[in-house]
Amino acid sequence: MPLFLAKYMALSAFCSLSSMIGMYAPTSDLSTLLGWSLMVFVLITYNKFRAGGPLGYIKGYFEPIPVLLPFNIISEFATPLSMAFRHFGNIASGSVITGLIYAALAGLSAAIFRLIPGVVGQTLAQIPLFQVGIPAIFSIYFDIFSSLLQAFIFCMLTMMYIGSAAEG
Amino acid sequence: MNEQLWTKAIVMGSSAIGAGLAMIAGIGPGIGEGYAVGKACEAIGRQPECKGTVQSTMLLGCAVAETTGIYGFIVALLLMFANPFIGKL
Repeated sequence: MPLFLAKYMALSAFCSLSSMIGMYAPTSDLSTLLGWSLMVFVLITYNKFRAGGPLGYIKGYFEPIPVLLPFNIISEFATPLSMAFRHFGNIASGSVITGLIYAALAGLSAAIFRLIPGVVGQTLAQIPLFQVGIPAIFSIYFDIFSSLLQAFIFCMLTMMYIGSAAEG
Repeated sequence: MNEQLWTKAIVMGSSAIGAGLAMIAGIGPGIGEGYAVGKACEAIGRQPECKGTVQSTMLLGCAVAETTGIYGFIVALLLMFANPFIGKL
């Protein structure tokens, strides 16, 4: 189990960090995360079965009172879904904001260099010079910090859910 | 033709407004995370030897608190890039 979680963490970090070199991050696609969270769902259910047996698993749906059965079923599916959405949303919002920053910097450099008269200004306005270096500052947060934090959190939450499932 | 164009324009404009409104959901996690970080600072100030534990717990809690904001963001993304209403025209 620890090896499995380490594999997930490395894969998640690698996938998210691949956006640093301009590739489309696999984790900014919802399908990837839904697949991963399906694995988490299987793991949680397996551990619940192992802890309490089939009867204990079914009994878990009627606790603390039987009226809560629909809500227990919903929360069973909401756990992996929210994990997938959390990871996807963080990485995808980073991509969207980075795209907006790139577009804004291109517009800004075109607007500023157009002020230079003559052919030089016309030529420089075609090249988005401000896109060099400045997005790297934002990339520290949106790509590096956010990616590594989400990899850590995905594994921590998986560990916690499996732990609470195994306790019975 | 003209009427169809009008309908499409209204749907697209309303979707854009809806995407903006969906991002109001960002207020909640902002307040919640600020509160969590403030409490974590208090805890570190009281017991500096627990810094590592407090930090990792705070990051985990922040990520969980962020979920509702992320839901709003996903609704906004759907309205912007995968609009379900335009296909129904």
